[in-house]
Amino acid sequence: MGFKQMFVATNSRREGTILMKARLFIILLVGFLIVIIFVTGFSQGTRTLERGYLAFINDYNEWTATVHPGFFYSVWIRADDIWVDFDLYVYDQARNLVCSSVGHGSIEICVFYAWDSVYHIKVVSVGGCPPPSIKERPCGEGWYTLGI
Amino acid sequence: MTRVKGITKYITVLMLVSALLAINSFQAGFSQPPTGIQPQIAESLSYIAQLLVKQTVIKFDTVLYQNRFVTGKLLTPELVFRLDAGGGRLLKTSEIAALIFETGKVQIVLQSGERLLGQLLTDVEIALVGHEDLRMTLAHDVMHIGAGIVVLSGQLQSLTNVELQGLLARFLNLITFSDMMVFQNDGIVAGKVTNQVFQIDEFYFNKEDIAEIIFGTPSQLRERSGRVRIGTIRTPTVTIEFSPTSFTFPTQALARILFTDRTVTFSRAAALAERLLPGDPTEGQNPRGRP
Repeated sequence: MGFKQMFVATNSRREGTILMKARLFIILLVGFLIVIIFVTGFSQGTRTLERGYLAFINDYNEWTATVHPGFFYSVWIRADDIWVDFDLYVYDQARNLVCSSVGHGSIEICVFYAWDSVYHIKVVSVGGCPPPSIKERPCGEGWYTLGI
Repeated sequence: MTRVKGITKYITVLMLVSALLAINSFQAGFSQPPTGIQPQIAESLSYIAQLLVKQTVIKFDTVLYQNRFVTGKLLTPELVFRLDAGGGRLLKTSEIAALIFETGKVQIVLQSGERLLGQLLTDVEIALVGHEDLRMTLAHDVMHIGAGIVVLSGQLQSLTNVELQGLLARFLNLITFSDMMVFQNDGIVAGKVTNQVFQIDEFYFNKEDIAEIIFGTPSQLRERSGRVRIGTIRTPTVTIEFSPTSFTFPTQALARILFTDRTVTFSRAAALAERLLPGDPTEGQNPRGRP
């Protein structure tokens, strides 16, 4: 084998190693990106916002939330109209009350720790009448946004 | 040899990835229930969050930036902005409902409902709750860097639901970074309490061992171990640091201190609360057809 052939052989071996390294690097990069997407992409997504409507005093909505256990969650409701009074309750699957937010106001918020994965959220209209200028709206009626 | 090294590296990375993914399963594994029992901190956080939305933001101007939260009265009567639409604009603080900062940008929510985008050029001065003499100046660039939120008193309704969600999420996450102090007048501040020791009756407790103090007659001191001590708090003042400045408040002005708890992990994910379903789809359906 002449010098030129040896040089070519060494070069192709080196190219092979570089190619393998490059392939490994790409695999690692893709793996790393998957992990990043898994850890941040999924977990930083937009938060859940839902809309609900209660037609009269004592009317209620029940929602079921499937959550990932092991975290604190905040559940809140905000009525579109500031005069209505809605209350918020969170129950576990065994219907134990884990959190409640009651009292005057169109915003209620509850913080609870999810031991389990399924929780029931109850929103109840307890009153609040519109100003006299809005005659066609009954007391305790209105839309709300539910966030978790 | 190189190939063996490469494979070893590859396997190591795979193991690291598996370990990362396994953390979530362990969290789920450890968190199996005592049914219906909530950690005490959930109750405290609920109380403070409810106080925030029902009282604090109604009574006081609030400022949240970086890991700090202060309430009081904005003293700067006028704020100057450079608007994206072009030119500068001077706005009276009384015209503004909220300021939502990003790096280099601020969304100005006016009480009229109008929204502008620009950059704040004025430093903001605030008189803190509890003491009119305690004043704090917030540099406009710090507000931009810290992605701050300013909500003027009684203006929470001016925020959209997404903005409210952001405010609540950032406020609740403060407990992992800051000590929260609640005042008798419903004001709240969050920073770093610098008192190292608190005295209740004749007993002394290191700050690190205390989870929460509820001031009253009698006061309650809850240790991190869960034990509760009831008695009279003898510590005369509490100092909170918003580095570099710090402020000292008399203990009588306080209602509660919830100390930093790094074990509190709020879900950051829609994916983790992905299926929020109406329990009864026929219940309370809208006859009026509003969205």
